[in-house]
Amino acid sequence: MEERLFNIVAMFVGFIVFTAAAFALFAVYKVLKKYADFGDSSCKIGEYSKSGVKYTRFGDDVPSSDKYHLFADYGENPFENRRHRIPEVLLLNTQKDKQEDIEI
Amino acid sequence: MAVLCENCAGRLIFNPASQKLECATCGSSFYPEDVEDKYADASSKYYDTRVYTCNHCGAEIITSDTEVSTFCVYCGNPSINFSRISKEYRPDGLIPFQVTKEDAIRYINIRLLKNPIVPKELKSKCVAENLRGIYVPYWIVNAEYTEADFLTGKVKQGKRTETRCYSRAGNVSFKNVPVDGSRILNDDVSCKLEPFYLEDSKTFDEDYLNGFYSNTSDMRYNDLRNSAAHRCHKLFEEDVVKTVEAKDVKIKDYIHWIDIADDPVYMMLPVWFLTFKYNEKPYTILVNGQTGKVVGTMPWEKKRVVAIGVSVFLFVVALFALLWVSMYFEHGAFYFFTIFNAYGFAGLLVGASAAFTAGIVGIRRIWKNLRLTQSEDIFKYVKKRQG
Repeated sequence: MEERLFNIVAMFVGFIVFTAAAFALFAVYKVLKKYADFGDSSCKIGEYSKSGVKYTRFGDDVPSSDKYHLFADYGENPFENRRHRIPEVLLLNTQKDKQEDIEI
Repeated sequence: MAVLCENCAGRLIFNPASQKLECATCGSSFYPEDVEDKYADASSKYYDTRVYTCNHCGAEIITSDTEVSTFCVYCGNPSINFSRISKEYRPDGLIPFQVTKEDAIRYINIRLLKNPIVPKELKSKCVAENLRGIYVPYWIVNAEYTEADFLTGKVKQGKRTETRCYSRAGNVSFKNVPVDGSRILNDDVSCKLEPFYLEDSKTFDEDYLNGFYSNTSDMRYNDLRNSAAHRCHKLFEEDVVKTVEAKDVKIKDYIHWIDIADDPVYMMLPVWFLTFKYNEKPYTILVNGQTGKVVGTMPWEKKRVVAIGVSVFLFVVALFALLWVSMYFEHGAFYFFTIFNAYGFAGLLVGASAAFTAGIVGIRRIWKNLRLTQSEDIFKYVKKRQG
């Protein structure tokens, strides 16, 4: 009887300590968030894309092996053959970096 | 180089409040587009600047003005030396400062006043001498973006919870995404400064730079692609996680491809930098020079934070003890356990576990932000070392 009582009390004390520690930790996080950490990212995808994401694959509860099929299907760069004009300043920076590498 | 007042040859400084160049000597004011710099060639691809170098962190500070701070705006060290007169590539446009120095200080002070955990001496550090206005280089890009994600999430099935797998892939057309073009400023910090409203942008005119510093883009095309892909991934990630109906959703693996459209726009965007040292560690707090948004993590007094944590701990313990004692005298030692029953304890345990996890994750995130704010770490986190 006494042993049972001791077990119950021990479990109860452990439970209280864990619960109190968890809430204390959460309170500390909330206080730091409010008073010390300023400026979260506030821009969502809608800020820069009117149409949003057009999903081409939408698999729920798939087997873990689906990962390999997914990356096989999307593993090739769809924009590979596109060529673009690169701004001059970016080209100059590349040349500058190459020059510095040679000097080093 | 700095243009002078046509009435008295005094120094002209751009005033964000009036959006005019004002002469500190005779008080005349002019619209930047009306002021003609005899020595500047607006059709040239380049404009003249003075370059100062910090001997401590290596940052280059560029100004068209003749006066410069004695402290590095990035690391706060006083080892600034005039390096050279340089010709810098002319950006396509800029957003002029709209938040004045006084406003920037006020926005930071609002956060500091009535703040129970920030050291009191910080209030004396938030002064005009520690604040510098810098035009930060950005690339405004349009891009086609494709990403494929493999995710996991936890779903409750009766009494047990099972982990399920999800696959997602999709395309997005992005327009006018700002990508910070400086290797010194960390991407994770610069994206927090957003949004910038490009409707207020002007064609580049170096007169807007008077009274401010500027930094030129030192990145290569590959850096721009990587930074733009990183930014687009962050935006995509937020959207894709919401499509999974499960708890604790995580992206386990992903692959992404980006195609940046021709001619990204080279812009200078306004940012106020507050640099100070506390306990021998440098800190940099940023303020968006257009919207006044404050970004950064202030140091806190450990004793006060620990005291708050201990108080909550003792409060919860005392609450349980009080409940138990109040029931003990009326109904006996075990009444508390019977009234609460197993489901009550289980529910409280789940709540406590959730609070514990959220607390740990949140504090780790704040700790990371603090390290980014400590500007020597900003330097460590320079883009060329990312990834």
